[in-house]
Amino acid sequence: MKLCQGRVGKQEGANLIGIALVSSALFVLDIAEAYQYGNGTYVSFPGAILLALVLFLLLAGAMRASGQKDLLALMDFAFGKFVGNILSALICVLLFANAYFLISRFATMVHALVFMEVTLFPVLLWIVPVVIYIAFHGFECIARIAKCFGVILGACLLLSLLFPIDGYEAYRLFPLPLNHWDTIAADAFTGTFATIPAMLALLCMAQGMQGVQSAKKAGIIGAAVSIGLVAAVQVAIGMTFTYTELQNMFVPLYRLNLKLVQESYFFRLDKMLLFLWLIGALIAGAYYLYGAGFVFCRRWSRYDIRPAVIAAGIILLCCLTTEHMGQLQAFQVVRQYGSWLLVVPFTAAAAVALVKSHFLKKKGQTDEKA
Amino acid sequence: MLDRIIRFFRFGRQDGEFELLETERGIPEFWGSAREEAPLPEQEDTRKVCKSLAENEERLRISFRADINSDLILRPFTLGGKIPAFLAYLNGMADTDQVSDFILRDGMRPGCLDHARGNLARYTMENVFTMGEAETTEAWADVKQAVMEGRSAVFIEACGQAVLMDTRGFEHRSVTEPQAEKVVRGPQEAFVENLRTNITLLRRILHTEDLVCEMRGAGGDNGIRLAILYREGITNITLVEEVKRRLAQIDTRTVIGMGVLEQLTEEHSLSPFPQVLQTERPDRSAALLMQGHVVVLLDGSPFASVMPATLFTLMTSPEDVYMRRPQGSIIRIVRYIGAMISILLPAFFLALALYHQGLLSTEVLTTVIASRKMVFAPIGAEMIFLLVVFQLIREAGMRVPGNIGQAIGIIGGLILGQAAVAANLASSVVLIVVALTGLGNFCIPDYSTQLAAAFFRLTLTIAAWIGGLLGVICLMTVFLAWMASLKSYGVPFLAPFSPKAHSQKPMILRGRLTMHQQAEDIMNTQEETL
Amino acid sequence: MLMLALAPLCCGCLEATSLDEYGYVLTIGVDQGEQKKYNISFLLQKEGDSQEAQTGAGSYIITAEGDNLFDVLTVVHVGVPYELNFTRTNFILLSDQIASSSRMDEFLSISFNALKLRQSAKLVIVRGTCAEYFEGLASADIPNVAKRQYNLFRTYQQEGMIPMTNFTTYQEAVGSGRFDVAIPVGRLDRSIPTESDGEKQQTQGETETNDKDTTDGVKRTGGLRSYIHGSALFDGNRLAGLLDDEDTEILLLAMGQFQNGYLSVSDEKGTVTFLIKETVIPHVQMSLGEAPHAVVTLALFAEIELDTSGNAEERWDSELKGQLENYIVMELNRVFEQCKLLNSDAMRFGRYACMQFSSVEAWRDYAWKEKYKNMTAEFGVTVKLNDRIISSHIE
Repeated sequence: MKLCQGRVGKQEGANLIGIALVSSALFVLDIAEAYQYGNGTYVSFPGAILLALVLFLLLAGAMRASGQKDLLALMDFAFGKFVGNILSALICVLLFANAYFLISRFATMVHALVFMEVTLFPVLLWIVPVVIYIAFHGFECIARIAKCFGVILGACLLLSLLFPIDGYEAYRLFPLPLNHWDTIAADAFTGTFATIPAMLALLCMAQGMQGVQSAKKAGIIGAAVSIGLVAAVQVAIGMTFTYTELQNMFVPLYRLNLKLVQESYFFRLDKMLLFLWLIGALIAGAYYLYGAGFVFCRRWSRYDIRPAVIAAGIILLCCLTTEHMGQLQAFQVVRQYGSWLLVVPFTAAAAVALVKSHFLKKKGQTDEKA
Repeated sequence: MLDRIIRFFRFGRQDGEFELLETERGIPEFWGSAREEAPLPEQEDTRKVCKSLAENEERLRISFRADINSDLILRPFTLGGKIPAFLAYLNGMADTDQVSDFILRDGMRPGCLDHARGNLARYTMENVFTMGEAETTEAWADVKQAVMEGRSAVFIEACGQAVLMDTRGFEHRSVTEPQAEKVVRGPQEAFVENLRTNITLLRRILHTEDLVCEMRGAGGDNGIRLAILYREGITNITLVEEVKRRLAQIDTRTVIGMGVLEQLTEEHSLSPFPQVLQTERPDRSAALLMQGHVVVLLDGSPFASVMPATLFTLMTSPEDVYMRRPQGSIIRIVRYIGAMISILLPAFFLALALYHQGLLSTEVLTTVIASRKMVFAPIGAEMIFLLVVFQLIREAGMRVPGNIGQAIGIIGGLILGQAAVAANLASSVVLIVVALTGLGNFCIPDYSTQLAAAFFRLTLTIAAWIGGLLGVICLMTVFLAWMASLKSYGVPFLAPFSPKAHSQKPMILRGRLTMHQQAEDIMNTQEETL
Repeated sequence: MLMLALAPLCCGCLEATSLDEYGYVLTIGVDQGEQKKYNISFLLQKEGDSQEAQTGAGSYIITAEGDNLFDVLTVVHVGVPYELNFTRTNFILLSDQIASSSRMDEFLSISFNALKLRQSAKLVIVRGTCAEYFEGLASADIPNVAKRQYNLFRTYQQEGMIPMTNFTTYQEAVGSGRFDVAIPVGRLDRSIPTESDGEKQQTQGETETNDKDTTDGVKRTGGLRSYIHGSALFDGNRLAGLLDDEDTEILLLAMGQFQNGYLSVSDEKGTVTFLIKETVIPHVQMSLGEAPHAVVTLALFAEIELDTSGNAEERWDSELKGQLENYIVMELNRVFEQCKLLNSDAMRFGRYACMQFSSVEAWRDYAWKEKYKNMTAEFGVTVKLNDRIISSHIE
């Protein structure tokens, strides 16, 4: 079976996870509802990543304890094949949904902010084939291209926060939503629909990452860097715009320079930065698409992953085109309930696997003594 | 045609990509056994040398069409004054002075066979002929090959073996300075068309006993030879076997020139990037040999193929190591910046001019608009036209010899450019962009990589024309993904940057010379790597 | 690979328009219309005649009337051989008539995105008409209009003479209700002849000038006709009143946006002119309630630029320091009362007020603008003298 997994090192894995998490957290979670009770996104967005990291570590620990090579094997070990298939289908759908959300967002951004004279379809026709192409080449290619761009994208993101530093004012963060800490926590939990799938996909491809330990290290580093970057970005946004402005603003990260009054060439580079972020979205989208195809092939197909990736890409293009002819409610369901569908079963899987492996080890020791 | 379509759509292919993993143990097989058993080359002629002198002579006359081919010289003589023999060689390929002095004179000396016993061919090789390189053989195919190469064959009556002696003395170019890889500080020698001379040039630099030189046919029907050089005990055996396996699978009519050999052995024939480094410098080949690379030399080609070759290998100039670290680092940075400018600047400018005018300052906008007032062509067409003209001037300057070639560069660059602006065929700003592009292109040391950059430049420019920065970014990502998935003899093309290897040598900056004591990690050599 | 290459070609170009098919609008001016709601002027950059010589470069103005900007564009586009491009628009000028009738919001509710107009475009209120103000910006010496405007405003800002406000800040003020904006005011000095008038005067002895006009009460010859003087204070989206340039400097001191400016103190011993510098933003302590109270502490530096008395440095600690500080405090109080009278929180105390709330609902319920009417402020100023030679303070 050709899964195009290849061999991926820790640095590549960490860069890939970092790009995927930052792209999803900054651009998928950023909706008007997040600013309803003031601006707490500098806690809730990184919180979503942190929760995903906690679940990731739990599952990695369970995999190590039970000796399972990847997440799919762990699910079978914990619940059996039938439930394992259902959970695999869930991962598959959620990975696809994340690819959809991310690419949809970026296509809308590019269309609305740059190419507003044309319809959305030409923009999609540029973006989606690139995502399919990268996913087609496999996990190795995706990870290596993430390594190529990871540090550059991170540095550009930090620089884009430094240029408008004169426009930051602490008062815009106020009033702090101290009375709404429960809402912030709920937002963080709900936001895990965008962060957990990236981590789960890494565990599914643990063999390509040369083992669970490598995958775990890469995941920790990538998630830690993402938490820092996302928190920094949201604080910068919060110090530039008040929550009332943010409620009606589309992609505030693109507009960080708008509060400045002095002229400089660097303040006109927002379009360039948008396209750099697009590279991150292309890589993350390819990762999600590949992940969905990978899980599908591992479970239900004995053949090559590449037709699955192409088919998923074409379905993605159709969904994206259809979205702008009418709302696709199915994906809104994912946004509302996706976190529950991920956290509950996979936490249970980790717990069951840990308990089971503990008892099996004890039984093995008892048998040895006998 | 139907088979091709089916193969294209059938995804259930076996995993055919070669990866340079940790080295295997043992001594490499002659034909290589990396992944599958390589077929032995077909022995067309399995005959043995006859004991009858007349029959041997007849065979040679038929093989070499002696009735119409006057090149074959068959010189009968009496060996030691007692036994009939004859000498066969090709006129022009063998050195007649060596033939006369060391074969005929020594062979005709009376009494040279007085103490002869046992195998006469062996006896004469050891006691009569005073040639430096000599061997006996009973395979008729070896005799034919030897004669075709310029060696001489001596046949002795009633002896079932022939004596082959190296009397090659054909005209060849002497060692001159490199044409394409000139350096200021460093050796001024380049490879020539003679295989033996090229091997000698390498051995003069590498005085190591582990340097192995394996000779074999190149696989073409023209019977040309090649040499595979590597360091036994250092170079990854898997790599050596893979090289040999690919060379063994060559079955074509003609192999002339290293470019043909490269295309017949590479895995990704559609890739604009070369997967081997072709160099005409012995010092560069020797340095890479020491690092664990494999070098292939082809008779008749003044270039060596070094494999594997990553992007950073292709972007390294032979002069880098001869300069001091700060200067070398600065020049490398300039080189990479030049390469980036060469590939991205036309596309970037076009994208800004057509779609993203807000990114240009008002001064630049007004200057460009003023410069384009009377130009009739759209800016995209103008850019592509000038890029094509630049390529034309470059090719013309290379093909035309001597001083005229240099003059074409001046005429094309200065006069043609100025005239084009005056005639409103082009604008000055676009001309400057293309000129900078050209300068950046020449910063790339490797010729094949320069052509690859030209390919990327043109496609990115077209993408910028139809899609603006979106097109540039999307296509650039596609190209990078392509490069990330490309492998050169099992080594990822972007290594050691992506994937990250243990190598501590900087990729762009010039590392310390002490870092060259160990081979790079990506080579997976048999000794400890850096 | 083939399909990948075909896909973008199938989608076609993304509506490319070459840069020489646009006219680049550098400034938009909005006046009261005679027949329609608005009379909108566009200041465009004119490029040179050819690529060899940059003669002929400069600017030109297009004006049309309409009920909104898009109506005006429809009219303008039929008469010019290019499309107007707003990506380089850095300034939006509004006449005081428009601003005081609360129609700024109506005009500025256009879709900036649709026009590709940057929301960081700076706002200026013009006394008179914007079209005339544009004509006053013309200068053959600096054909680059954008550079000319930028240098002009940069000088004003570096001198600490004007507050700079852009559209995004204006929106924040109107939407969040935490402060009110102060927008610089542009005026025209008709006593200065234009360059074409100057040529006419030399040849024909005729000019179109008004000798009674001055630059802020001062006669001036030479330079641009158009200049910036003072600031316009807003109460939400309505022009509430104007401050002259001295009051504007005081306002900037309180806001923490003051750079440096000159202040003269005269007594019987002579006149001492100080260069006042503000290097740190003021420290503000707010206490809320029905009548909010602010304690504002400013730390300034002064350098002696002119000293007719000859012993200003010796008298600094005993006399001049106290005089200067008291004067600044008095001016701050006066300007604050003026702002309160106009119901304009131009000193932006609302920013500090909102930092004391722990929820959005509590802040909304507080109704800051209502409470501002009863606000009191206490200003404390400390001025330190810099050494004249090294321009820094040594304890």
